[in-house]
Amino acid sequence: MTDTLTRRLIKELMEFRKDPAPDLKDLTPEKEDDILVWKAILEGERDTPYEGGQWKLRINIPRNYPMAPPNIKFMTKICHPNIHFKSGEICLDVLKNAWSPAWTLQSACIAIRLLLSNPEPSSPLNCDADAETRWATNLL
Amino acid sequence: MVSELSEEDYIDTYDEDNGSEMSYYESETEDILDDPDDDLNFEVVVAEKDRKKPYEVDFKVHSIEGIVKNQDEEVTHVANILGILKEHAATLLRHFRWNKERLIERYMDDSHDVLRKAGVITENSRATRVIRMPGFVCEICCDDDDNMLTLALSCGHRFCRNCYEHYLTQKVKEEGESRRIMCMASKCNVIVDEKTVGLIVSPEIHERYRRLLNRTYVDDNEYLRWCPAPSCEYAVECHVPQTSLTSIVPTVECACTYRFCFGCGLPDHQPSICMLVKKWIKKCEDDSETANWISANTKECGKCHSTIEKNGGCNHMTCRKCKYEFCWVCMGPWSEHGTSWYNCNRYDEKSSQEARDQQAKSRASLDRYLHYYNRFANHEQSAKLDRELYNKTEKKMEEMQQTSDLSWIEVQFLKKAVDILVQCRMTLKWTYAFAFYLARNNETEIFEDNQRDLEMAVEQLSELLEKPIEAEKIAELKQQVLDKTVYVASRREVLLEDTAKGLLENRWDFQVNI
Repeated sequence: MTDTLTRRLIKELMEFRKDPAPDLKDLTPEKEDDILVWKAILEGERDTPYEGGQWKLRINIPRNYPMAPPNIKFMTKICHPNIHFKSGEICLDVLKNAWSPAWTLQSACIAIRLLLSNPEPSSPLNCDADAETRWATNLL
Repeated sequence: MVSELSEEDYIDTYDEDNGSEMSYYESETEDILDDPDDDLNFEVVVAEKDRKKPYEVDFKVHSIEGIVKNQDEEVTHVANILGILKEHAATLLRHFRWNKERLIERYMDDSHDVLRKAGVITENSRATRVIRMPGFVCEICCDDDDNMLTLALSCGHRFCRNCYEHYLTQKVKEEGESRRIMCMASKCNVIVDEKTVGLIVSPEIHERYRRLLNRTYVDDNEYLRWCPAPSCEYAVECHVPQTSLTSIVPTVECACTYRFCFGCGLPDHQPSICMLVKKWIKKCEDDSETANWISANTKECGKCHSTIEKNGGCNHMTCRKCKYEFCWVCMGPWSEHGTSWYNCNRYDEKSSQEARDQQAKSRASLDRYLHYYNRFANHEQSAKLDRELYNKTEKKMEEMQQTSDLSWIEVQFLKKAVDILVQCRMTLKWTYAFAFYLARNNETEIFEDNQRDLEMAVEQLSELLEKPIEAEKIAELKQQVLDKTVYVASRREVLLEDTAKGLLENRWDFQVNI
């Protein structure tokens, strides 16, 4: 399995270098000798409160990847209803039970970026931010 | 010995007679019913013990093999009606949680929509085949070996066989998933059918997959429930819908002899209905341990009803919560006391009277609860002790066989008596939870009379069973125990029958909303 895992991750890296998604500034293994820990840098989308910001993500890849989803966390603090303010945990279905092996690290990062502009107030990890969102939505 | 044998013979022949007689009557009745010209309406003769009691429900116990067979029959049935493959019918049925009628109805309405939502593609030309495909690169492991085996579900998303095997193993083994394993492509909801799973995974994983499927069959089916007894593998089928649980207590008995309520899965709780049982258990968890202590050691704030324990000498109390100042002795407001509490002579003051009334009321409700709870708990405890009586009874039974000329079969009455005793205690226990929620009226009085009769009989039987055996009085004891056992069982029946009828007729008034 390790062989396939390495092969797959190398291909994902090449793919990102060849055709990087906008707003995804970086997606590489953190260290030369460990291909199972990656980092990514997300840029805040335009016309959202997150515009101009940069967030670092840490990606821990399990041995049975891509059968099991990668474990992704925010290293930079972020205020968002679905992201734990202290631990950086992300509540997103594709990183849990809706994961499919056809997803890649890149597509997972894009899904997280989409979550930034489209929060899911019904499953909050950060209740205060959630309350703010609800309150703000009510005002509109 | 000779006389015993002849007695047994007699019983045997009597039974046979009885049996043949019954079937004779039955066949006669059928003949008559078949003949439309005959106005005579004979009722079918049913022995008293076979007649269904109002508090009993119909149920069936299934073994694992039976469940597998049932599943297979339903799948075949649907496959024949809809004209689709069996594995597809199975996926559809699982999607509809084994509601066959709804599936067929919807399918007839709009088969495309049903198939799409359930993740089934029925076109035969696209059935799953494991093939070699030169030049193919698997998107998941990025392998491009020409000899690699590949497969695609009917949706056409092709991956290599190895990846599929890892994927399915992961799903089945790590995630415990079975009925909703989807195609590996993202956003494709086509279900990996049973046949494909069998084709790919190892026998060990396949075995687990089958077990999980059986489990979901029972879990999904409204009319099936696993027996909750530890390591029991039977499932019980009972056609009492969730909506009628307010008027029926569907008590079933598994083949392993465990009795439980089909509605909520808790141990037998006749005659209380599930909803009251739930309420009662919650109340007991909240209250019972501390309630006694609270009632003995505390008083309530006259204003916010917080429970207060007095931990110092002064009687000038200030409630921590609402800052209400009052006198511990008379419970009246402190403002009326001036500055010296020992001149407390407010006994007849209106306000302190009110405060005491309020408190008396809440204490009375606590008292009432404790009355029922103590009896409830007492029967539970006694039932536990009575179960220990089993071991003692076994010894007693051996003793009896040795000290008298009674045979093994003839001392079984003791064991049966203990069985009935424990069962009656369980029933009694739940009558207290039921009574707690009953409103005071004539119906309740009848209920309490029945309860009292059963309780008295149970205590008498319990006493009899604990008596030491005296050799010369064994025959007498046997007679007494037999009589009492029958009496107790009939009292229980009367109580359960009346309660069940009352529920059906909506005769009981509850203090809570149902």
